[in-house]
Amino acid sequence: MEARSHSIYWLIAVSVLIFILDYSGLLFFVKVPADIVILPVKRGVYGSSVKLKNLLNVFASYPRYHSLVDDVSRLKRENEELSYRIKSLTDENISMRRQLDASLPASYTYITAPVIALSRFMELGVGETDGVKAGMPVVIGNVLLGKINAVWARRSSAILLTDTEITIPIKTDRGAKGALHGQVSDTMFFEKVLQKDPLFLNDTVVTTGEDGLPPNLVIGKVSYIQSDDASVYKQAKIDPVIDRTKERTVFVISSLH
Amino acid sequence: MANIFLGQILLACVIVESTLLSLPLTLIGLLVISRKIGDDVIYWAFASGLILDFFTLRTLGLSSIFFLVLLFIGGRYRKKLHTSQFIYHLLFLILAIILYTVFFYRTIEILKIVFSCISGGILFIILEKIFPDSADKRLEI
Repeated sequence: MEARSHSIYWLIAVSVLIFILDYSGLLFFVKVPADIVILPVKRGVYGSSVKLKNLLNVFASYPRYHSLVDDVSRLKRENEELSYRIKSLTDENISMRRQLDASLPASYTYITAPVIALSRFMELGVGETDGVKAGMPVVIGNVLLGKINAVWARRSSAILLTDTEITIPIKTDRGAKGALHGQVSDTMFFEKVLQKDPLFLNDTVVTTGEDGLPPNLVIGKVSYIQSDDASVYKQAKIDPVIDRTKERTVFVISSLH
Repeated sequence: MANIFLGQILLACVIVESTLLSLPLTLIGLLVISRKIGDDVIYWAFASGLILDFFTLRTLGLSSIFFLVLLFIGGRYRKKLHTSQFIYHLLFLILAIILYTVFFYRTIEILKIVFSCISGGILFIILEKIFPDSADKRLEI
């Protein structure tokens, strides 16, 4: 009994020692081989969960099967027409970007990152060896998903915009400025907006370019406005423009130049 | 055989918690199996905490410290936990879940706490079916 009671003290002491060593960066040599096992496990589990969600969507859509078949044929035809248009527009866009101030300049460099886990943070299958550093923004297209907050050798994690610990300066396309703050239940709030600033439903919310983030990255759209004339500020709820739970590949902006 | 099965349960809890759900599944797994294996749970707490840190990119040792300190405090109040009333175990479980979610997930969501308690109950029922044992091995630290 006494031996057992001493065991827990020893285990706590060993845990504290391990914590101190890792906090000091002395256990890096242990983490690198661990990623060789952990990465494929997490990739497999997360990939299976996404496929299961898609399968459930298929079953839910079965009653609309026949209309879906017609839709597929029509969409295939439209897709071919659009593919041709895309090619011609792409050529035109490349030349225009050189002259216009686009929100995502061609000078940005990206690291393609597979998503291997999504719980509190979005975990990516790229790390220090791929050039990822803490603070880098994570995007899909020109939509901001979050920022890198932890980096290991072959993995990294991104804090999402819905996390309660994130606060970033944002603005609307009408010029209203404020701060994004994550809330519980995976929601985002646009806070500290002056009463005099114009704020309307469906306004697009983007980054201001401060706090190390590129400017004009899309955050979402205003879906609900809470305003009290007696208060200096008003706030709004922001809905995201993409469903991050369905994305399997995202991009880390590694350089802005 | 029982140890292998319990190890697999804890490993599954670690993988699901670190990959899919932001719920304290590993903590719940430890508290449930502590009713089966008694004070040996501290070794499982140490090991599963380290593995959880590897999977979640946390500083190594952090989860182990949390689990061991929680089990230590639970052991100190073992007289209360030794009562046959289920309410004491449920209250300890809820308190542990709240502490864990505040410390690691920086949030308190009632739905997640309720879902975690239900998960703990389901896991306990499964273990009772697989390892029926009239002798109740409480945590003795």
